[in-house]
Amino acid sequence: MRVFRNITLVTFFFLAFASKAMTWNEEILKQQIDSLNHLQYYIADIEQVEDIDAALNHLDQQQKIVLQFLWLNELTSQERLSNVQQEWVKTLTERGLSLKGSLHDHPNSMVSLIDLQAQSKSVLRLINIKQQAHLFAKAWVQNSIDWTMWLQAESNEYHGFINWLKKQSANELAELAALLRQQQLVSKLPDNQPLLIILNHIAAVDIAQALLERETDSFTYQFIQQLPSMPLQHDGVQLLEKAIKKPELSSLSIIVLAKHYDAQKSAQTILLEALDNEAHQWHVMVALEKVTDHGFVTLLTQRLASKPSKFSRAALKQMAKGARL
Amino acid sequence: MKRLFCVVFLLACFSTSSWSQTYTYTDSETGQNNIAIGYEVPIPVDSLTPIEGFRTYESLAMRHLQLAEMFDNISQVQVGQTFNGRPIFAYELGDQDTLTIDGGVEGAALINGGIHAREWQSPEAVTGYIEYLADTQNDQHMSQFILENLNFVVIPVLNVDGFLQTQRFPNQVTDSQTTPRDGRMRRKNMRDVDETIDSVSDNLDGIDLNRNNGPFWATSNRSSSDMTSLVYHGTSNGSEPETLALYQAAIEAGEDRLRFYIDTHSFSQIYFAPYTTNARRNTINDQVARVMRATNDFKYDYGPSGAGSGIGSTDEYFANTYQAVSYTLEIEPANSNTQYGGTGVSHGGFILPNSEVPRMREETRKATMSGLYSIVYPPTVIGFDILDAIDQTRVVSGRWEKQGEQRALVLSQQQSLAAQTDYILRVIFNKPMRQLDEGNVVGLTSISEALGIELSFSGVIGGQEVAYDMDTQQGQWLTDDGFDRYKTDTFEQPFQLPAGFNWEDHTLLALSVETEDYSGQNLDSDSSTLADWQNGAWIQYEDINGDGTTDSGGINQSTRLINDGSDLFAPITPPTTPTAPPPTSPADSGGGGSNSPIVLLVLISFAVRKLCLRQHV
Repeated sequence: MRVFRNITLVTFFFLAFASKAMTWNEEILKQQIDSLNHLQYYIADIEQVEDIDAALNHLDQQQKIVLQFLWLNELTSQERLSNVQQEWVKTLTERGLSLKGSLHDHPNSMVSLIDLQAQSKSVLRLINIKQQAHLFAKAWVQNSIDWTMWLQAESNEYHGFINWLKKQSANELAELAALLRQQQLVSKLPDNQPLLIILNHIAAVDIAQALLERETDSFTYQFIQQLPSMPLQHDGVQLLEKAIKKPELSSLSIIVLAKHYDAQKSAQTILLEALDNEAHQWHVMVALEKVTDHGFVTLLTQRLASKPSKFSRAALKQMAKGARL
Repeated sequence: MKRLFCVVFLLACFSTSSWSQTYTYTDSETGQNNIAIGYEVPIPVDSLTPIEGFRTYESLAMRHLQLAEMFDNISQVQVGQTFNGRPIFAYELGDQDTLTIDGGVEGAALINGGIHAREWQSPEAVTGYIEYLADTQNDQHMSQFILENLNFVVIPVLNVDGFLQTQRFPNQVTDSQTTPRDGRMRRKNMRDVDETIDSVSDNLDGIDLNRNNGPFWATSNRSSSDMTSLVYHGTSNGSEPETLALYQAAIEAGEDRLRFYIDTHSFSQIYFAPYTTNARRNTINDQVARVMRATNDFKYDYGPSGAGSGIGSTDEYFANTYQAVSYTLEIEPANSNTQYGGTGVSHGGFILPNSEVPRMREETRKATMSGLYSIVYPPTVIGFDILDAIDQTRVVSGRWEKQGEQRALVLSQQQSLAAQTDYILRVIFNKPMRQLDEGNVVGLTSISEALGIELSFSGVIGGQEVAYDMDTQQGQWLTDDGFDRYKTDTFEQPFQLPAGFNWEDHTLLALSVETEDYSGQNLDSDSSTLADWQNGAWIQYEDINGDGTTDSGGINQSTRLINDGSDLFAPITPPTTPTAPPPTSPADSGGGGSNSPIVLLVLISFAVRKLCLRQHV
């Protein structure tokens, strides 16, 4: 036992010395994390701040940072923090501790491998978002939601609402959609994410149309991209016809039409009209490689061949490429 | 408690848990195997046009093809194929000929994107260059100038297989939270790798294409011979088909004309640059980097590295093989995603938020266009017109026209210039000289000024030098009407010659022009020679002394309205070899020697000649 103890002590001091002497990089960080990984749960049961200091005492400065990084990771997964944990995390937000080193990508530049200040701030924010989600859930059940508070852009309340929203069933989301209509809340949403979440679970054409009428953001693009696999996929063509009129959505809508709806006559009509539209025809040209419906391919080929031009030649080439794919 | 902690700690010291695990990136959802990044995880979409976010590889490829089919100035060429047999395309941007507007031979530039799969900023940025030049190809300004005078080749995505793998798993990674590898965080190509991330045995494999190049292949401990390493350099120099495709693109661009290369990466917000043993190339490399950095107010850093060693990167290959100006551009962020309100999670810098993508595209585009502009050729005067200010008729004009390998000034004179008459001088340059910002002429931060030009006529009357200065505050760079070929390639200056001016009195009358182009390059002092690029430096780019090997340019006085046939530059006297002074007698030592009166006379006559009659116009 004594021999074992001596060996482990020597090993410990070797590791401590090695970590001090090293120029840090992500590989060394990984090794250190592996060696300290099993200590990450220690923070879950902490009772007083002094215990944290005691636990860190045996480590050199870099190892302390690595272990605190692991503890913050562990706390991130919790639903709430104890007072002691919260106090400790808050002290980290003020201390600016970081571990600099190189990533393999950038061997010549030093970046923050660990930034405890940023990480601790994130822990507080993420825990706060979870708490907001709980508060929203409570208010939802009690039917006492003050929407002006929950729909403020970039606020933790709004992120809490989104966090809650992502966990809801189709029934709950249908109920929310009804509420949005009834209280005319769609226009008050800071972005389109709530609508996207709802449409991923329920077929609400009016909500989809409202989304398309709102200012385009990254969630609008996601909506169109995901439309063919959404519950309202059967209403896809009429929605894409609406989307195509927005210049920023036209090329995406045309590709989705050609890729997923080319067998539908209504989609074919829209694509043929787009071929005659100067603003859209070159989008259609490249999208033709996605058209697989035999009858439509024949129709397009005849039409393009009858009007020889640079555009027609390019379009026919694209269709030929599609046939090879 | 402490004892328990120590036991756990010591046990941990002996454990080496390194199993592969799949993690999911989320906005704020935490919990087992989730990695919260603090904002919505970008998922690529099939848009052809640029969006607030990232596009799929498929739609990027369709976009490139669309632009190539639409515009004659863009053509697609397949330069190779990936390890999995997918085509690798390059796009050549430029007019149909290989000549500059002066009749010189165009230089070539090559920009590579998407060599590292997870660096999604790169294909978006590089595609932005193509889109911008397509949109503005007839702008009669910077874009048209680049397209007409440079052969610009772009590979938007080199590591197509790897890029597709990251897009297949846009929010999933394997291995560990701090060193994520396959899925969204794949870096290398797909040699010996399947396209799932469930089979863990292969997800560390593949070759780092930016460690697979000569001349320093496998010479650094910053590349590895371990095939599971993130920086595995492969079995031999240039072993990978993607690497060979990049070399093929250089051949397409014109190897003997290649002068500019950027490999586009993310992140750390810096231009890395390998030095070579060619000091002149290194200086130009620094200057062009400064121009690109100035475009974004030096937000990007600069990191040159010494000659003679390297890590096997592509910028080293192009710097050393072609003596090209060469960079590895690491796009933002500088450090981590906390810059955008992210959680600072390890490697989060590779995941730029959707909302930042349009700005990133614009900033990288502006910087790169400035770099391309500066490397096309140095500025010089290629002509002038003097108009009667009242009826706008041409009084005297001249154009430097290419004759053989040189330019000759062809003058056209309707009448002599007269004293106290209102004239308009238009000085014509061989490139746009200033940038435009919402129609306003602007210079480049700490590089060039919006006006920034000095004009005068210098001449000789009866053996004495004379000069007629002009107040250039009254002049302007032409942007709407009257410019020659490109907006701001012409400076218009009203002037009047003083009372007593008599054309016939002059044996020499030359236009003297001192300015720099938008990128801060001084004028080529001699318009009769065509500056060109050779072995990593400019040739025939004369400075104030007529030395064409200093890469610095000077003041252009080569446009002569009245030519006495004298040399443009004073003869350059080679430095004399110092010789030991002859022994002096004590009598000589205190009085300056017997030659002193002669030296004094020479100095006086030199001073008299220099005291020319400078009159303000």
